[in-house]
Amino acid sequence: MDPTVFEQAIVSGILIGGLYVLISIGLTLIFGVMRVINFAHGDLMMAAMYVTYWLFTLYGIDPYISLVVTIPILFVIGSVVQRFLIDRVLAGPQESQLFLTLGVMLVVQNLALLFWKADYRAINTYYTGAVIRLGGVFISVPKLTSFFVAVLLTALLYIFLTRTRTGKAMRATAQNREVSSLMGVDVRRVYVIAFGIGTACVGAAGTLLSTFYYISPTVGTTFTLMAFLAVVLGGMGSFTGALFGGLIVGLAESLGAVYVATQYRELVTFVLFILILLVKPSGLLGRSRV
Amino acid sequence: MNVLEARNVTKNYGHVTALDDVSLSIAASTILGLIGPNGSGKTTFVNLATGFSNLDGGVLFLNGHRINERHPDEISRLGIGRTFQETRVFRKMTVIENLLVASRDQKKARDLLRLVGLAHLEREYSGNLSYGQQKLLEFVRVLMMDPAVIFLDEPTAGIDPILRDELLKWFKMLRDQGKTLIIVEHNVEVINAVCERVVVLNHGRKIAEGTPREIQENRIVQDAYLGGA
Amino acid sequence: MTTKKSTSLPRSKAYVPLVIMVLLAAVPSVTSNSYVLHVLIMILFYAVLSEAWSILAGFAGQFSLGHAAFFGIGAYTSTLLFIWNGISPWVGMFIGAGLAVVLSLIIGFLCFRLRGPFFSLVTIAFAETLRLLFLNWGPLTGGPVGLLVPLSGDSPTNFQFLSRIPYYYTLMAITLIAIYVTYRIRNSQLGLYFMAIREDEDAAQSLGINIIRYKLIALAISVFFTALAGTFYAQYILFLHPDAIMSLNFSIEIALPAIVGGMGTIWGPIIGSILLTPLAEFTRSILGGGYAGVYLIIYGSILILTMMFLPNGITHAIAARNRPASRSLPRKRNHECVGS
Repeated sequence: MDPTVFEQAIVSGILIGGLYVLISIGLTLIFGVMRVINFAHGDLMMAAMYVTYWLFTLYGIDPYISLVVTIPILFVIGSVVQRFLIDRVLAGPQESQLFLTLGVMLVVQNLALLFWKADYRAINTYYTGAVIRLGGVFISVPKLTSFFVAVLLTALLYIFLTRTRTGKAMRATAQNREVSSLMGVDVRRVYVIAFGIGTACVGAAGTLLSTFYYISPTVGTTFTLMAFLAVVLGGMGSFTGALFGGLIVGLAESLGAVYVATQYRELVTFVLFILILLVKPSGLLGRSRV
Repeated sequence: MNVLEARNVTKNYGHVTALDDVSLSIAASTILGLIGPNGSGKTTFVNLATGFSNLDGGVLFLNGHRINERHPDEISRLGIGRTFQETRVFRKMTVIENLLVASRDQKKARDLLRLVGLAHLEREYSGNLSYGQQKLLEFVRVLMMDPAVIFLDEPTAGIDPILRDELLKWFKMLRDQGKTLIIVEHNVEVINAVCERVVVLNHGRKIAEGTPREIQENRIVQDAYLGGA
Repeated sequence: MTTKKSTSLPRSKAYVPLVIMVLLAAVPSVTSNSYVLHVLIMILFYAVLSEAWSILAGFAGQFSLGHAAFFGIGAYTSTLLFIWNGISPWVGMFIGAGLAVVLSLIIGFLCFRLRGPFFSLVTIAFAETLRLLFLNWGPLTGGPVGLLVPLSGDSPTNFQFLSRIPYYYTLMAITLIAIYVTYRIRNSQLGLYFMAIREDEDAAQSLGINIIRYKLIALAISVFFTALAGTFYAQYILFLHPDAIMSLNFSIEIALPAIVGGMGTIWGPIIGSILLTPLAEFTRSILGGGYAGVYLIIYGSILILTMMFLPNGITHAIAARNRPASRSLPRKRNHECVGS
């Protein structure tokens, strides 16, 4: 076993892990605040990837620049979905919410298929294939840059959640919605913002991902499931859990790509998922509020 | 032989000790009151005795048989029934369906409904009943299983005084039939009216045991409720 | 023993679905239009699948999103037994169903302690695992290329017919049996146990109900019919591919008629299929190949709208309108488990 291959995989895993963290935080935020399992998460990311693609292909806007467009757009989409669709079913049984997000998933995915077919697309910038070398390990430049942006966004989100009033209101609502509303928190507004931010996270991740990952209507589902795995590993509803889970999933995927045959990689993810759900559904860190 | 016996029962939730070395024994044909400030471990004890939680220490006996690791449905079939603090009727099932879940005996179901005055609501969704009616429904639902031991978790909370007195009458009736009732209660009048013995918990420990009168005059108990000890 | 079932259609209206079924049975004597028959077969196909799914979901309250896996096991088992051992699919159908049931019991036993959406998630994971296994198991299943069911032409003993009509009646028979089983469950102690579990697992346990056991029973019945439908599909469509029949999309399609029509009812899934399936079939035939996924956009939209406006499905909405207005409180799912 070539130590550099292993090191390579670790580094690669951490880099992609950063993006998984961003995706997972979005998912866990939505669950933590509203107890909604958002099946449409990955597909909204896919939508962001397409927005990035078209901005690049039609107007030549660099993906990193287009973040200023995709993040707000996805925030708005998320807010709208929450305000007009999900909000209506929050009072009902949990399965209604689950089915609703499944419905959104079906619509978004198949609209993309309708408009843009199943062809794989890719964004080719001047830095797409660029590689630098750090301490014996080759690192893809877009992956590295995306990682740093993801870290930055995660840090900003952390500051938002811990230092701003709205952020604190969100955390309070996540812990106890009745008490929060009694204390003057506009719970409905918090929900909208939470879903909006969760979607914005995944929108940013999509844009960042598109700098080195292929774009197709079906990529969403894979990432939704990866995100679920990460979130369950770290504990549903936990910010640090999403950090932990995202990195683990990134590493697992990267190492899996080295040591497991291509056709079995997805399988490994699912088997891991089953194991964690059966053995410790509250997450390895045990911080879930199931 | 005591019908129900708890020896050194302990339960922890993480770092919090919900029950600490609690022992008590209850004979047949008795109504025992279980009281204590909020958070003293009353409902925890009920959960342990009915199989909804596992003990971290100690033993529970039913008629001399150890029942520590049993599932709730097993314990129910062994003859221990319970009601819940937040009334849990099957809301989208009708009143009579709620009873028939426990036992197919339609005649018994109707008799019980007539006893508590719910017979005319037989086909109504139980979710549509008033709070007091739901509590009654939950009460007779337990009776459908004819348990020897019944845990009643705040059975008179939110019930008007007239209905409450009816309930107390039925409690005594059940006791006279040989059943054992353990009533978790905050209402002192209820305790005084029906309980032969009372056990007081505070911070997971048994701090007093005796007749209602003895308990009322017990300084330690008074401190627990008033002093926030 | 019949008590007024609060969620069934009022007596007079119960005849409507029966009349529809009789009419459906009479269709082949009126027309032998291949396309019409195909659509009807598809209606029955999704009806029986959804009715089966609803036994677990609507009655017992366990929302599986992995039923496609059991469908696949039924389809592949009977087909492979036919290809390798020459066993008639009529027999293979039951062997497949048996296999599917056994596997489901193992999965159920492991997973039923998970509640709510976590159960749904793990069913997705199991189904995807099976799909990927089948996809990569070339020698067994033909892998990514798919598996062709050997064409025997007119071979009734081998569950193959030249005309659609025998297929139609066979499926109708299976569907009627499934409906009958649902009806018997509805009016039995078993049905009460299922509904109690759906309503409140802890309260059900406190009444002596072994919830794992009854969830397994519901699962077994549900999977049995799902797998039978799998064999039917194999013999009717004559081509199997894991991405088509063992996918999450298909699992959702199985669930949809019940969700829209009304879970936990006898006729809900049937009505749901009657409304949805022609929609999908016509969309596909009008728009053609490149627009194969459009019906999913429609399905997704219907799912969203149903959850927002008719969360309990059509049959419940009709039944509610026929009851005198009473204070009906929203059902809250009990996440607070009383104890451990």
